Amino acid sequence: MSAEPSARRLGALALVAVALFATLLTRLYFLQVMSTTDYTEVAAQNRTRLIYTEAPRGQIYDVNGRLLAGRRESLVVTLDWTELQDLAADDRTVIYGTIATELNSHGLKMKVSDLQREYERATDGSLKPVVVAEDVGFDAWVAIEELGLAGFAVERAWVRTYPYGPIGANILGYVGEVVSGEKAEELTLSKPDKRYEAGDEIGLAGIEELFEGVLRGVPELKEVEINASNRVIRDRQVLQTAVPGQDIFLAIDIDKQYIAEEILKEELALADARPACDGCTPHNARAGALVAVDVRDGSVAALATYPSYDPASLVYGISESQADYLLNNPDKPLFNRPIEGLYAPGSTFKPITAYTALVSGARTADFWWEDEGSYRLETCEADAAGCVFQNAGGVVLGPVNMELALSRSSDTYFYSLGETFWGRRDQYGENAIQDTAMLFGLGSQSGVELAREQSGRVPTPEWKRSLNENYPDSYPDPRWYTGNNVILAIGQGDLLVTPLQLANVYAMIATGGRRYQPRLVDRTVDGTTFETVVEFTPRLEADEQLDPAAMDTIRTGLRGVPQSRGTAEDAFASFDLANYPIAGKTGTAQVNGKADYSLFAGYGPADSPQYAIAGVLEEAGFGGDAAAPAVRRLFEYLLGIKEVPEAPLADGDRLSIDRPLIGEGNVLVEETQEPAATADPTPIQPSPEASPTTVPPTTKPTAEPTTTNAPTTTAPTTTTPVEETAPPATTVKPPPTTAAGDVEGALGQQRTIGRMVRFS
Amino acid sequence: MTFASTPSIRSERSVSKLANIDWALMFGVIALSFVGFAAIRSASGGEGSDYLKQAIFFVIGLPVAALVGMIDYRVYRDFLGLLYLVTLSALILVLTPLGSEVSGTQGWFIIGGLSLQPAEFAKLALIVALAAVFTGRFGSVEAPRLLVAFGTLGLVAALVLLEGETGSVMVYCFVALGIFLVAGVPTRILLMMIASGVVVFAFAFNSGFLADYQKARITSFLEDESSLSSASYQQRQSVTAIGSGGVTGQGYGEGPQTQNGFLPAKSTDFIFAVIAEELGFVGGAVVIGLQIFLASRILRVAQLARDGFGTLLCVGVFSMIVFQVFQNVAMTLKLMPITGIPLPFVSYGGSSLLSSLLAVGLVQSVAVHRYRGNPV
Repeated sequence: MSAEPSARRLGALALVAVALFATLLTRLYFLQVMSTTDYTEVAAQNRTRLIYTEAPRGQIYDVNGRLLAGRRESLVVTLDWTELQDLAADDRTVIYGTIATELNSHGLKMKVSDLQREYERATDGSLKPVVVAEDVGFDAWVAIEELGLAGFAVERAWVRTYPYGPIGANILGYVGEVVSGEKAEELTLSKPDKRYEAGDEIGLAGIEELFEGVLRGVPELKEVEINASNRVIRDRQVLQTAVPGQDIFLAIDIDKQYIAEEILKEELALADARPACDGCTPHNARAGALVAVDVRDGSVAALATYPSYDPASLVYGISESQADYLLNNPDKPLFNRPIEGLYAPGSTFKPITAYTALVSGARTADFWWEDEGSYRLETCEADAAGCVFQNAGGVVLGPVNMELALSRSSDTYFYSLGETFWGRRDQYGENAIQDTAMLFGLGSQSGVELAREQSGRVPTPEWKRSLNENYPDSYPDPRWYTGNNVILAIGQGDLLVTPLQLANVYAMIATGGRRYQPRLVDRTVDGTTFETVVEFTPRLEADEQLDPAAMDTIRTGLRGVPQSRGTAEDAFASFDLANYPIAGKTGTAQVNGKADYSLFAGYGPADSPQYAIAGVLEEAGFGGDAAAPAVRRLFEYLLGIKEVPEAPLADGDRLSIDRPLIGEGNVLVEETQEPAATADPTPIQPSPEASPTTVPPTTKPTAEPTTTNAPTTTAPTTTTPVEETAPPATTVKPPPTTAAGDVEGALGQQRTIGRMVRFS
Repeated sequence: MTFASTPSIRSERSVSKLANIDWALMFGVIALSFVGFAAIRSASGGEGSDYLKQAIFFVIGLPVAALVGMIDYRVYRDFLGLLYLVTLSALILVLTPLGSEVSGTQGWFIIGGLSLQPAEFAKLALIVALAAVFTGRFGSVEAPRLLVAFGTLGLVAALVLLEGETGSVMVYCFVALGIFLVAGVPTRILLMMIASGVVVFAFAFNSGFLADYQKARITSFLEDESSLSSASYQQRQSVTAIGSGGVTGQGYGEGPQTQNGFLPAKSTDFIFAVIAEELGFVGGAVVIGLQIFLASRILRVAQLARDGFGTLLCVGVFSMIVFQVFQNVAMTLKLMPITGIPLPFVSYGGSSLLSSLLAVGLVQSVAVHRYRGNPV
């Protein structure tokens, strides 16, 4: 044995060991002495999380302080994914099954797959437990607490309530849930102090949506220490205390809103049952709008739309069938017709043409025009098809001056003005009528405090040219024809207005040119101190100082409308016009392939105006038959002729599941149709072409379509050199340039409904 | 030598054996084990019985190790065949349904509440076998002897690889390397061994022989902070724990990384991170210092051994402990890849503690019987 190499090699081995240990100590020294601050910070971040809790959402009251959108505490079942994550998938499924069975036994629908989906969704989100079932009730609470299953607990949570149910839904809107983490981040970026997380409550329509930033409180932000399983070990500090959202007081009186909605609903039902004129498309009155504004300060008195929905049913998310009803129903219950609905104003537009004529001197007030029932364009030499424009139903009115032309709605009178303005455009300008329309606020938003308000459309030669430039295939003709101007003069063609704009036009007529921003919100109030934060004082949008002489003529004409031989004579038959004079105008707008749209707009009392009201009843026939009675009835309540009834509160305890989504709204149409079809076998005026949906009239036998001289235009669809290029008299064909400015385009907009498929 | 001339055989035997025990080595072992109990206790949040189980293993293992130390180490060479055979049998049996799989390795016998890992005890058999192979032939290693040595190592290593315990195989290799080095295997052959080891590793890494999780463990220590792999996460948490420990630590039982569960395998593989987080650089350095002290004592015994066999036994144990300490601590410091190699005497695990104690027993036997005058 040679000891020497062994000793040397032993030394080498020792040397290797020394090197290894030295490496360890050096590294240890580097980590713990040189860079300990860095790692201390990393470790701190490692276990620090911010947890935030939503503050109570602000409440919405009506002008008299009645609660329209409130909040209440609800018992909810929450799922805490951090407690479930360590379990095997099978064990989780067992827990889901137990919870679902328990909830089912308490009448709450829940499937294992629902809980699985919630769990998977939650794992992408925050540490906050997610709500999987709401309003579970005391018994279910006790039962679930007793089960003591990992990951599930029953907690209290704020839930939105709408005490008046569907009343004013189109104004209030509804709340839903922030659907995803990405969406929450997006929202947080735009409102950093309000910080959103998936599952938070957010306003998705109406005041709830537009005043989201006011109603939403500042959430509590708490720093907590967590462990590696993301479980909270202890609270560190509250970085931000919760601040409740501000409350909102509306300018609306819920009773007036209620009565407007009732009137609209009832008059639609009546109109639907009323037979159409001979040879006319049967009525299909299923939708409409009724708007009232206070001409003195712009406050909105009522903003009724039909059909509507119950926002309370949306608070917890809805089933697929409910979603289907809301989104795919042809009557579009989510569509807020007073501000989103775009309609041809028809004859309600005539005061604007009249004002143009009087002010420009194109026609004097005392010029007598011989209404022969039809009007042949001066540029046409013979009665070629398309050269002739008819009065509604070919009625012959005889000699009319401006006042009578308005009172009795002479179309031929205004046709001739339409041709005059275009024929002498060198003198009056290309856009004589259009300029007046814009003066009256058409073509631009009223500025009402609601989302998705439409601007409407005032068609001009320039507009038609640009349409052709951009969409030559759909709009091959860039030229503006005499025919375009002729039908514009009576509010047809491509002209589109919202019912709210129409009400504003009549408010301006009433006040001689003052137009307020429609005032929906009165004030916002601090959620804790109840002190006013922002007061929404009346805001005058325009004060046009309209020509007094011209306005006198027009007002006189409009006052004749509800009177003897006026187009709304029947509707105002028993109305006390002596004490409550009303000035207004009927309108009957033609829509291709549909029954006429019935319109009425007016103000009253005519000598000291208080309210302007506009009503639009879709596919309901003549303006004097359907819309005028609706407006008349609303005047009775607003002017104090009749006492406004109290709006009924919805049933107290609202559970989300198995409750009909839209109580009265949708049901009403079916109820009135079905019994009516069998109940009354003796219709006054049976319509030979009545379709199955047209129901013989059960009331109002006084309706006499043949004697009503509401105007109709003969749509210029025939082929003459002049007319073939005139636009079809439709209001529903969407020009691609202004998708938002159109009925169908607006209807087609995707709307968000919170938690749409949650309980499906 | 002085004791050898003492007249009374009985007193000479009893006195000399106890007197010749390397008490400093024993001190190191006991100190490290107690640090281990404390760390295991803290790692289980001050609750649980793991540290007590570890203590029971220690209480059983220490007398057994003492017994091993009292028996002349040359006796083990005499029974080498039997020892090696039993080891091979155990390693084969553990692959049968008699053995159990624990965290991915089919390497455990679970008897009652005890779980034993034959691969741990195979280390000892291997040390004895390799030391025996080279005995008395320092500096002149013939080719056949080298082949026998490789065979001895290869057979055990292959079986343990089948269990999936690559970490143990690495320990075997370094034990063999240490013994080869001191036994006088020519440097060029050692270099060739290391080179072929690298080649085999590279081949294994790229041939699909290793599972993805194994590869991830190997590469994780090279990954940057942003990596999301689980291995990388574990090492990042470990480094964070150690770094945030600072000079004096967060306090015993107070380390947030440990107590809040961020640290993985904290009572076993990452026990050093627990100590370093809670007791700081001071605690970490003490543990490493104790290991250095332990290693230096073993090296001292190797020097003093009465024969080559004794020296090589000590060298084997030395290599085993030094490599395990380095690999384990370097892993927690993110200097080396993650392997399941425990920190000797400290990591929770009965088999590891027992085999480490028995290894020290071997060294004690060499120390006790270091004088030529001693009776066998």
